[in-house]
Amino acid sequence: MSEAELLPGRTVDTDLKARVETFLYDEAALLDERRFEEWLALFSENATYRIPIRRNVMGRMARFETTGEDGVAHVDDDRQGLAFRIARLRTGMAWNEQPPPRTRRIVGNVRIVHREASDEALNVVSNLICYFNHHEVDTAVFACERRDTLSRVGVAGFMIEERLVLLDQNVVAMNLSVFL
Amino acid sequence: MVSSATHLVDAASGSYAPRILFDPEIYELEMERVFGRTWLFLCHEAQLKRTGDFIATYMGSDPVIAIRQRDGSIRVYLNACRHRGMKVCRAEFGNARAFNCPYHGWSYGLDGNLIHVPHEEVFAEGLDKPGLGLVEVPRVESVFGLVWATFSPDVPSLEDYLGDANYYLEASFGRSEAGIELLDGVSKWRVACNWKLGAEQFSTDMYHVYTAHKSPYQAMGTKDTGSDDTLQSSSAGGGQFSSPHGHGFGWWEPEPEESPDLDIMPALLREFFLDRRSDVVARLGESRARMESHGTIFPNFSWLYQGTPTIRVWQPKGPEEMEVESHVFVDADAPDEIKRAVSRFTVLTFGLSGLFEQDDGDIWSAIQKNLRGTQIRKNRLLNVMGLGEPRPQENGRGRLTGVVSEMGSRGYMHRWAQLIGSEAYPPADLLVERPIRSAAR
Repeated sequence: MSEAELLPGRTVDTDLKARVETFLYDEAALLDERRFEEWLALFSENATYRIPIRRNVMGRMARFETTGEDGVAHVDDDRQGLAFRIARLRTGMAWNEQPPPRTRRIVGNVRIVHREASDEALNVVSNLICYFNHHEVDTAVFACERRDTLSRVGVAGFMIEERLVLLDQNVVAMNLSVFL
Repeated sequence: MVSSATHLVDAASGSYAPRILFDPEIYELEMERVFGRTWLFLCHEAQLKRTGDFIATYMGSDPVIAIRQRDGSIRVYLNACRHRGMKVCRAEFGNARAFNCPYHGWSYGLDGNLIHVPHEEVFAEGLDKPGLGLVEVPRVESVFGLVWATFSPDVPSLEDYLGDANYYLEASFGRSEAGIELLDGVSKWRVACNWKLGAEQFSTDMYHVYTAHKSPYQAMGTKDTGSDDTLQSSSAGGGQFSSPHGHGFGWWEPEPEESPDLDIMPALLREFFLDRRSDVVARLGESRARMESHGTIFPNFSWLYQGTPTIRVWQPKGPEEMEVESHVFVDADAPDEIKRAVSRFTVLTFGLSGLFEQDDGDIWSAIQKNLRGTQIRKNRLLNVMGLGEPRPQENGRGRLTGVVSEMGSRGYMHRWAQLIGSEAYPPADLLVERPIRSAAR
């Protein structure tokens, strides 16, 4: 998906935007409420979910800042990978989330950056701040941009076909057990 | 403190003082005596293809830059301007013709020489420019394309330092005639614990797998969840290795059809590994072709090879903080789709978000916090398993025992204590373990 383009004076389909926002807010609530199986149901069969590595490079090397598809990522899952993660969380022995952490996700700056002419798919960019708290005082804040490809199917009105998470940390503050 | 190093670590009886994991004075001493006197891993040669390619990383507490020279060699320098100590390179990697200090503009060539000082005439007393190059790390050597450096004139050559560990490194890094490559991207994260907790575990603790990592095996539906109580007599075979320099390595060598790690792997990867098996057997022999393993090269380089080929470097960031640097490696001649599959599966299991990796980081940081307990600190920590009974194994090299043991940990701590306890570089010797009956409990 290409980066969002600034389109001065572009019109916004407020009805569509409201439905996309509602979808993303509901999705965040499913995760905060640890309803992981319902969350996974929002992903299509061939969905991909990737959190590439962000690197410190000089400005003229900017194109290397984010690792590409042939490189290493922090998370590089298909739907099966996400399902394994959820199954692990349910074993009662996923020690990083046992006792379960509290998380609070704030989704914002939602922008529909591209609509297929057929209106079957949308490219949506949003920002996410995820606060994570476990084991007495251990906390982390994960801030990221998410670039989603949504298809207009499913009970929730949309399905996630592709999610790219641009995490704003070079050295990540702790092991990443949360979905972003 | 120097005289009490044997009290801090009693490797012969299998115990050590919690203090070695949190004491700031011990931490300072180990920066000098351990990180100053061992070979430290930097990068892979293929990451520095062209003249001027560089990688910026750390050797102990010191930031360094490894640079490909015009003559094709790799040289390593402290990443600090000789004028006021500012970093001359703030990128993780890249290509440069020179390194310019952002503070006053001093400029250094690829060979570390100070080539330009802005308005040099203002130094009326003159500057000894030839003597003010970047401080060079004196020794740089490679094995299997992996580049290492040391500050020490006393450490043996890298090959001699690795010794029998070379045999085990080859089982992971020498499987293909083409060698290995590191895939693009180093994943880095912090764990709030002492760096030795990671290094010691890989040196090797196979015992924790069956509790700490039970959840991923269960979630991924392997046929062996490690719930049996017969670890020592497992039919899979294998062994544990310990070296005079503190390296440790442990491996299982199951029949391919019995391997839980092959079992949880995506079919594409499993087929790749099985297809290559006969070539690997021809190169390395049956035992090493089967090895599912992890190990540590003293002090802070570890690797894992269980269809999830990954290197990790445990970078010390203070007594109670480390940075984990994680690389994915793969046979250089593997097809692109296999490289991609190796990357994805390794990240799923042992990346910072990995199904296995998360358990370790959480446990280590909880241990670190617990050691703030005044009463808890009084109890020595144990690595007593298998004490006094090194025993020959069918395969392998060097001092060996059964795969589930704490011999590697004792060897690691023994070498650590030797280095910490001696101002002169101490010769490396194998730990003499006390027979098991007299072991302190």
